[in-house]
Amino acid sequence: MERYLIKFSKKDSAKYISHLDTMRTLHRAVRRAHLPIAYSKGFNPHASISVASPLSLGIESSCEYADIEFEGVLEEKEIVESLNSVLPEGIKIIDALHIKEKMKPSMSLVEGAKYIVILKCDEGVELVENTINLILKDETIEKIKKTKSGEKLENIRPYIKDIVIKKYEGNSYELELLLSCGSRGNLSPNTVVELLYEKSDGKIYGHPDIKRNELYCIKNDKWIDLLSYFKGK
Amino acid sequence: MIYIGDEILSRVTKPARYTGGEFNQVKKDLKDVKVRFAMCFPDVYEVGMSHLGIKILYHKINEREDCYCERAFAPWTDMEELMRKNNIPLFSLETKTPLKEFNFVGFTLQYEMSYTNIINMLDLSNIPFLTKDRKREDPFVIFGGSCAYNPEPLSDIADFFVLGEAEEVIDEVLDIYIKWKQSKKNREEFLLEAASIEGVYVPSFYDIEYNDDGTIKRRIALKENIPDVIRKRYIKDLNESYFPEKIIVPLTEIVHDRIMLETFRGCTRGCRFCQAGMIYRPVREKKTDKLMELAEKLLKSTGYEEISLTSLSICDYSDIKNLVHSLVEKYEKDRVSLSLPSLRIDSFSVDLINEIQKVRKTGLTFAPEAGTQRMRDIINKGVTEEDLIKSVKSAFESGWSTIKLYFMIGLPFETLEDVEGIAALGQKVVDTYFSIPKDKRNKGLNVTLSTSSFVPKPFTPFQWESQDTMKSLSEKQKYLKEKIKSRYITYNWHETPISFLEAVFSRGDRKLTKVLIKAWEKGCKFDGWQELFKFESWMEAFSECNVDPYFYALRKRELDEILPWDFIDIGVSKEYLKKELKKAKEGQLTKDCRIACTGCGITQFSKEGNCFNGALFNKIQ
Repeated sequence: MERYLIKFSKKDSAKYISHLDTMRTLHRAVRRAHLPIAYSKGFNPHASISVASPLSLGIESSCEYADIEFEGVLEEKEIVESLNSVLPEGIKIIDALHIKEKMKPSMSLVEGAKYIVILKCDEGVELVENTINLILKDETIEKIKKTKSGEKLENIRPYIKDIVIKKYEGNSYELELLLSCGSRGNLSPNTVVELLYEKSDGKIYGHPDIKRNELYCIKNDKWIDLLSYFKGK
Repeated sequence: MIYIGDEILSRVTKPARYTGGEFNQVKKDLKDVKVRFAMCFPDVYEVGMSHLGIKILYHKINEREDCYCERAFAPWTDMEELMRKNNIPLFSLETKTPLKEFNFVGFTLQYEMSYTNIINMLDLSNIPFLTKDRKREDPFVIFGGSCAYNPEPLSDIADFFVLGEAEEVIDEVLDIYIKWKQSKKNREEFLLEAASIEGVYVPSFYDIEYNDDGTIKRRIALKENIPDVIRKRYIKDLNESYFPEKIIVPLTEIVHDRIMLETFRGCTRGCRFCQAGMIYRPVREKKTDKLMELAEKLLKSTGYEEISLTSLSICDYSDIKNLVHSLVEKYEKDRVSLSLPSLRIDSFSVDLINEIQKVRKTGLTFAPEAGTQRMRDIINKGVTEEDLIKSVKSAFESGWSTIKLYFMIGLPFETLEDVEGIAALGQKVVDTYFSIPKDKRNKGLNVTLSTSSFVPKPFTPFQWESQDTMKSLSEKQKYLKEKIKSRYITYNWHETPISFLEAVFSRGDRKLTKVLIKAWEKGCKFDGWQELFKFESWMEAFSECNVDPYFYALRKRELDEILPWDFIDIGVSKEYLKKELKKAKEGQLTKDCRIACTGCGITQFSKEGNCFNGALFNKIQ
């Protein structure tokens, strides 16, 4: 069994493919490409593909990762090329990496994600800055979180690592969000967008155009993107 | 091209229903095509994309360089609301073109309860509902599929119908369209030419005269040189006919998310309630070699892990053992699983399914259709209680413990004893399970009995019979529920008002078009979806249009009455249907026509005089 990390993007209409359907789509592409994917043992064997971090419906991404196990060693370039020739519109493999040593699954390594969000505001950059500062200076921001057993209040502030205005033009603002992501804490960028609407009394508005730009894990107390981590950088 | 913004798509359930962009979707340059065809299914994406017929036609039309076929489905209510609010017309998935800009808008009619969705889709497209209101630049609205065999309820809406297997007809339609488009001729001139194609029915060229009692007096042809009788079209040799080697792989899970490998068309059993068994005659098989070749290509082009062998009764495929063995042998290592829907009730079938479901025994479904031998003989099901008990015994011994049994209630000549027989049969299945030693059976017995309510269908021996009343059907359901004692049995039933409405439309005439539009105006759509079905609105629509629904659903027809669909020739003669009805009353069986020809008329119709094209006679089980 040989493990590979693949990095792929989901753009345009492909952002409307749900997490489960993305796995199904990748699996079928692997089969169309005739790559020797490995299957789990047991009564109900399933293909060994796992996506590092589920992406909410409607969010674009240039940095999706998945662990795939194959029955043998393959050329990384061959994986990229053969999959790209059989993927539907909007999904593209950017890189593949053979992981030879025993390392934790990507899913359990993910700690954070970077999102780019485009929102509107007609009142000038100060208002956007002030709103962001209002959020960042709070120590607790409680939000209702839906869980399997019901609803509970959760402090989401620790999951907001940073919010930065990257650029603006006219009334359009491009914000960069650094948020916790993964099993140890996860915050949807949509929640932060709602917070921005709320804290600005609706002066920040507009349908958010959200894109995930990077997924991080922690190495020596620093955030490092998944691909670099596995490459040993 | 329409732009459907994120502010819309991000607010609807399952947005992948509306995005297109699937693998194997066909993209063409619009500059290169002369005809644009919108293939429509009047239900949601997941349902429509599961239908084999439109997959075949979509790819078949797209094989032509001069034509481009795209798809459109009924938007779910959340999407429809946003489309209406934002003035977005119904669009094709491939190029997001409004349907109104197409040359043809073709709908497949698979069930009557989808008809209001057709009206809704035309409305969302700003296409006039009625053929008489359409202008030269409007698309031709055409219909096909099994419900088109009684076209009359949609006759004012359709520009024309294609009767029979459309793969056989569509090229001829497209060819004359291209010629017409280059000419300066009007719409009617195109329809006149279309009417000369065998299998094409242009309803606006005929008028109907009624008797005082509402039955049909006669049909009047309004044009010269148009046929009095419309003959269905069918493919003579399925091995030579078109079948796609690539199919679209959806991005969201659909109802039948697998390769559908069509093994044969037609059925030899002759069940008297079954329309498919009559209209798809003659039986024609694809050869195993051909199917193996198609399976290989389809697996490669889709990446699917499952193949379903489709037909009306899969174990009647003459070379089924060889086909199943060959597929299992070749694809076991690739983890391709096989499914066999429509299992026959005998040990042959159980042995066969046992071989392909070695590990996962997901549950077996059989359709005895009726609870007593008397009733099964009336409908010519040709299955005995012994067959069923033997089959389930063998299934239990092989490790299955979930069994589903399908029945109908409200069949002609039914008594309460026959209804009770369903419960008794279910109990016998339970007893059979417990008669097997504990160590030879699996745990967790679950027997599901499902009843649907009988709907008389055109072109069946029961086409003259009345449907049971809603009250009686509900009482029978209640009665059956009381008769079921075992806690291992679950009972499911269909809501009777939906079956009633199905019966109205399945044997309806032209007077129903206005009711359909009225019901749509009252908000009826997705009538096949229990949660959206509005029976009261329907009944209001009937009353406001002064149309009596009971006239269609409950009235027993005289054998000499002119039926709305009598002008269609499916190849099976009316005399044969009458003979079968008489035998039903007497409880007499008609043998499977593979054993001996039963003289249904199809051999005279086909002129070649042969059935079972492609079958291997020495292998018939």
